[in-house]
Amino acid sequence: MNAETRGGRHLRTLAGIAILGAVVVIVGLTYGGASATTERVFVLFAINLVAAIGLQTFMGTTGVVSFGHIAFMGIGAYAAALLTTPSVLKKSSIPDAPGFLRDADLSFLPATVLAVLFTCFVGCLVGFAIVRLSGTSATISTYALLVIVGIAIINLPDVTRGNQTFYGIPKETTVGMAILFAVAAIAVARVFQDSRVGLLLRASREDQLSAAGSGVPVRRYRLYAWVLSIAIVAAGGSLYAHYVTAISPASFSLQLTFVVVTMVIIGGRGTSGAFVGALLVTAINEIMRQFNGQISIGSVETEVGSLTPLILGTIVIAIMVRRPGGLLGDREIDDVLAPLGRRLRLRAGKTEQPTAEKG
Amino acid sequence: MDLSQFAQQTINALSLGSIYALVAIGLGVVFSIARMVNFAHGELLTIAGYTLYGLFGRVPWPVAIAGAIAAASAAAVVMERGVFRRVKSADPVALLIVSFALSLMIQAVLLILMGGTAKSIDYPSWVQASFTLGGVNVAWRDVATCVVTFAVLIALVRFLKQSVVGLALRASAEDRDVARLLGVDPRKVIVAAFAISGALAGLAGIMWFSNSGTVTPSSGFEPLMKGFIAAVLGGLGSLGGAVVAGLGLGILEILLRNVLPDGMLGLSDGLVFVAIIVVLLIRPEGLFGKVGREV
Repeated sequence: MNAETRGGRHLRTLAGIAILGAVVVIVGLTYGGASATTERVFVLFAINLVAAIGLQTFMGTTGVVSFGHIAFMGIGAYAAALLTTPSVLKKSSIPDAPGFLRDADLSFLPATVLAVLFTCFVGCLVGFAIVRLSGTSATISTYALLVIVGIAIINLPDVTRGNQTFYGIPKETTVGMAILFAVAAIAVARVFQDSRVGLLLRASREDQLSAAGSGVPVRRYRLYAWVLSIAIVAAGGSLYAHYVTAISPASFSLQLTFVVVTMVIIGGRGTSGAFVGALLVTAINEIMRQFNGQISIGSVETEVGSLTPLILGTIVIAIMVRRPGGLLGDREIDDVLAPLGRRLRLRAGKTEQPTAEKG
Repeated sequence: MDLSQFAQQTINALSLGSIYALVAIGLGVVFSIARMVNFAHGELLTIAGYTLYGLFGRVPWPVAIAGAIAAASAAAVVMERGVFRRVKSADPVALLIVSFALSLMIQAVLLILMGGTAKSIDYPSWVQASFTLGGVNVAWRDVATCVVTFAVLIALVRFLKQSVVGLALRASAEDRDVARLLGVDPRKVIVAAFAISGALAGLAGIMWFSNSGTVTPSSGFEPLMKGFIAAVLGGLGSLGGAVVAGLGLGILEILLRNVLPDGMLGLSDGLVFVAIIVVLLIRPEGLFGKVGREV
């Protein structure tokens, strides 16, 4: 790696984005368009992917476990939903909201951009505090953020309808939108990760003192990663809100946090890791959903749905036991495929074919 | 608020804070030896709760309590031998995630075995009873919680300071490698740490569930989180810090519940968490943590 020229590095970044992006586009256009069920599975995968890549942009580069990103997914979702929900509906659902929110009738993409900017602003304010902390203290503080934001959403009923469901969000998330968001998230995250700031941050993840001693402004760079990762999860929140069309504070809970953290941890520390993790978790959830109703284990009757955490948990533990760095570790998809391609060319003189992910 | 009310709330706060402190100490014992935060610690409380549910009314209550503590302690040892020991990575993040997964798995198993509805635990009637002391109404459970926590603390300190196992534990917490060189078997020390931590969780569970009198598969979460926060605020691995932070958290919670006007009661948890972030910003290693130790 270190022998590569800067141009070579840029090429690798592009190759990595192209491979993952191509997989998303191809799967989206073929599988995602096939039926209502496959569309749902694909869109859920894309939402998971955007959230996981967003979280990974902070966790993978800084090594700090965050339980707080889902809070920003929530802020992004609520902010975008407030802007796109028809004003006619908002007059009855949130009559006491400030006029500019109540009367707003924005379309999906501009609303998402504004929501992302607003969420980044909030994230930036708390980010100054978060990046001062490391390790367990930082994790606790991000968890505190999750709780605080949840309470704030509940206690602003004029705008968010509090504990009640915020409904009537237009259904804008199509397969095309899902592809757009997923590819954009992949590209932004990978470019940042391979940038100068990203590399120096990853050095600080390995050894914070040495990196700081070598002149890396760790806190400032962490703030960059924090805000960028929040922007990505906020976009994911908007994508989610405009898919399910009704959201509540409970949608952005610790449960979802655990699912997204799981994706990031089992995949590995890079963008491709988040991709593999999101793919695996979506697949497991979907397979569990296929078996409806009750099954009996020995003499105990149970809902199949309650088995999902058991299976997910077993997989997480198995991966952590066998590969503590996640399935891909620090490698990216191009790192995985490069030697494979070389071997293929050597063996048969064939042109290399990008093989599909092995989930 | 008159004086008797104030006294009453003080007792409430101390009792709640004692439970947080017990959870925090349990987490701290494992952290100082194994360098991991055990998120599945809350499920040890839940296991103690279900054991009480099964035993109260069938056997004399001291036996039921001993059974609950033993069950939690045994479950902690099983966790360590069955799962944590197999994770080869020393990365605290990997262990944290594994314990998080384990916590959800235990909840799922409990949900399958016991169902999602709350089971009411048939505590002996004296637990809920109260007596009047100088115009102050005092519940026996609050007295028992404070007294037992205090007694357990003294016993734990004496154990750590005076017994051979305690010495091995402290030595391993100080420097694992040197302790190993001096003949301390790290595996035995870790098992001992988990057994102690589980027993503390069992005790905490007995007290925690005496408040609501019911247990569900997920009811270990709240005491775990509060205990975790107390442990971090106090400085992970610091016994005194855990006690001070646990009591402080209990006092802050009860105080906010009493001081805030009715309309803002929903914000009290939020304010507690804001306070936590502020404390961590001023002292990132916790109130009594060693400065410079990155976790």
